[in-house]
Amino acid sequence: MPHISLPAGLPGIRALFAFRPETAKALCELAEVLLHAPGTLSPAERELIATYVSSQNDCLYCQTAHGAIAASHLGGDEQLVLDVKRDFSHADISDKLKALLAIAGKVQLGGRNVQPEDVQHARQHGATDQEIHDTVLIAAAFCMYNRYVDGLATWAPPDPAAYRQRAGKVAREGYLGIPGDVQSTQAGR
Amino acid sequence: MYNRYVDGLATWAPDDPAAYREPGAQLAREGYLEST
Repeated sequence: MPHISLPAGLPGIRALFAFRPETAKALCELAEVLLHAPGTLSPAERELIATYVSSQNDCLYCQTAHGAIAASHLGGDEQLVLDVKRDFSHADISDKLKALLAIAGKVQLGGRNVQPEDVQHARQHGATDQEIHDTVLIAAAFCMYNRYVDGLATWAPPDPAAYRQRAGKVAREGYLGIPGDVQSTQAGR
Repeated sequence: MYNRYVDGLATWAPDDPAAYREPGAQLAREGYLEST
């Protein structure tokens, strides 16, 4: 049960977006730039970084929601998402993405854990400074979103199937429409 | 988030607390939207 009085029926961060529209706007704009706007890392790669960090933080809602969005970008490949969460070093992904996930994992533990050799390793596999920058910011931002969602004990649907439909919409349309969606969902109750 | 972002990229932080006073005062007066 959530620690504060949240609109019923909205899962995870969506309930928090409905509760506080002022912060919802900034948080969705940040997610749009980091995960969906054009970039040299694909949306699938960026969602996998977000999913991995959320899984390391044990945030059920975020890892399931972003795992479903990643799978949608990957043509429905939910197994690859599970493989990345379980042991990305043996997953069927590029060496560059493995090196970036290693940096993301260090950021999840705390920023000072990232070592020059971690960054060097990513560069050797072709990562650019902007891709390294964005990886650190995605990992840092998901440490925030994860703590926000779990620190207020929001509700997470237990069934992964419940996340699929919205995941497809977010994969296609991005994050900027979400604050409006939750407001209209709330108004319809 | 901000903590991990700043330290995850090993940015430079001035050692002397005095270096933070004027920027801090400006943020306190004017807020964060003009901070660049």
